[in-house]
Amino acid sequence: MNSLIIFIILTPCILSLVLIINLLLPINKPDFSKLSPYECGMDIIGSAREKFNILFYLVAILFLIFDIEVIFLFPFATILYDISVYGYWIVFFFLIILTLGFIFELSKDILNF
Amino acid sequence: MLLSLIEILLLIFPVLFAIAFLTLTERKVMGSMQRRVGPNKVGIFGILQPIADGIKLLLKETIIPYQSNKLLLILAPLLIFTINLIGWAPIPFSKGYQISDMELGIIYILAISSIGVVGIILAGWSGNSKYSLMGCLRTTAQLVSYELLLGLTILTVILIINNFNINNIILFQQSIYFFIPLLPLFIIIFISAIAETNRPPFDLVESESELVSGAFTEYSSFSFALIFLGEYGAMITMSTLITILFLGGYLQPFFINSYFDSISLGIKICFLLFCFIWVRSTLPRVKFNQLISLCWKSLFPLVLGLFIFVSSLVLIFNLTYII
Repeated sequence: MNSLIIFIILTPCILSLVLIINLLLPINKPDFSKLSPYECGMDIIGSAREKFNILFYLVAILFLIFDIEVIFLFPFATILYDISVYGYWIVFFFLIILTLGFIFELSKDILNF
Repeated sequence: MLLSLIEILLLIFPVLFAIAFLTLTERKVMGSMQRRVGPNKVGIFGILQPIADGIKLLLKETIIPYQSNKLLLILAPLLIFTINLIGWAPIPFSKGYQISDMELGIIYILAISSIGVVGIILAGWSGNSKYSLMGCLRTTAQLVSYELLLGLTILTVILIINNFNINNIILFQQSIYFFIPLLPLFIIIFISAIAETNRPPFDLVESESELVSGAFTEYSSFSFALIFLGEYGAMITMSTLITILFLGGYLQPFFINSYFDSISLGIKICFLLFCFIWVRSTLPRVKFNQLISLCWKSLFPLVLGLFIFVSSLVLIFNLTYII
């Protein structure tokens, strides 16, 4: 077997062994208030899983667009010496189009919380 | 099989020790910077403090909140720490001394480090606490933004080398370390590494006064220790990545013997880690909108501009003949 595969399998095994030791070794005395989620020492009010407005949603969408852009640039970075000026201009226009979109998003004020 | 097992254990245990003693180093260095002594009771000069902490956390009771998703709550710290250790696979300590010499080593490290976000989302969501949910949302926005920056910065270095192999990247820097010609990128990657590892001044994930302990509010005992070690492990991995890309990895300016390769790598990593701690004890925490606008409004356009600039330079001076 490849030593990388052994590495990827072995590491979680060692860690989960230690976690199991940790679950068995100490004395467990759970009670109600110990097991309730932390909320400044008060009784909890409702569940955490209710609907609310997530502002960072737009950041995530912005990330999605630009991460795909970075993925497109990775092959460009490896063969820049081969494709030379022609490929360079194509990537340049690709970036210009994306930058126009970025300017539009900035002007919509979505990054101001 | 046995040989690779020994190889892997020889990697894992020093990394674990490094992470453990990094926690002590941080407390000691911050103590000195604030005119305190820091931990000094356990062992000589408090050198056994991390081991005592580890044993204490191992002997603590695990608390799993009753409304939580129990399986995910236990698996999330495991994921966070495993991802950290696995990221060490392609990192060379000297020429040929690495677990696997893969062609796409840099992409492997990037991919592994972006899985870490999933661990934090799981940790924050499964606890079913309001603090941890808020913390995990913030973390996601922060990590996702700065990961983009990290990717683009690495890409700009790759433009010059045209290769993803880590050994090639290091050997390319024999004539000059990349932090001299690409100094702005070095500073940007250092900032994004601080943000990516949730260190102060960008530690909005666990800003104690607002979110208790962010995504990790519901954790206790060894699961907490795994997350804690995971954060410090991420620091070491990040500084190793910066060392490889900008400070010449295991290359050494003074010694000739290749036995000193790993020592040279270690000194460079330690310097960067010291800078991490230095930044922590110097700067106050930023606000969240400042963090996001620093990433999207100033650093990201700057890196995109530098990307175009460097690729133009490569074409103008036709570096093909130099290689």
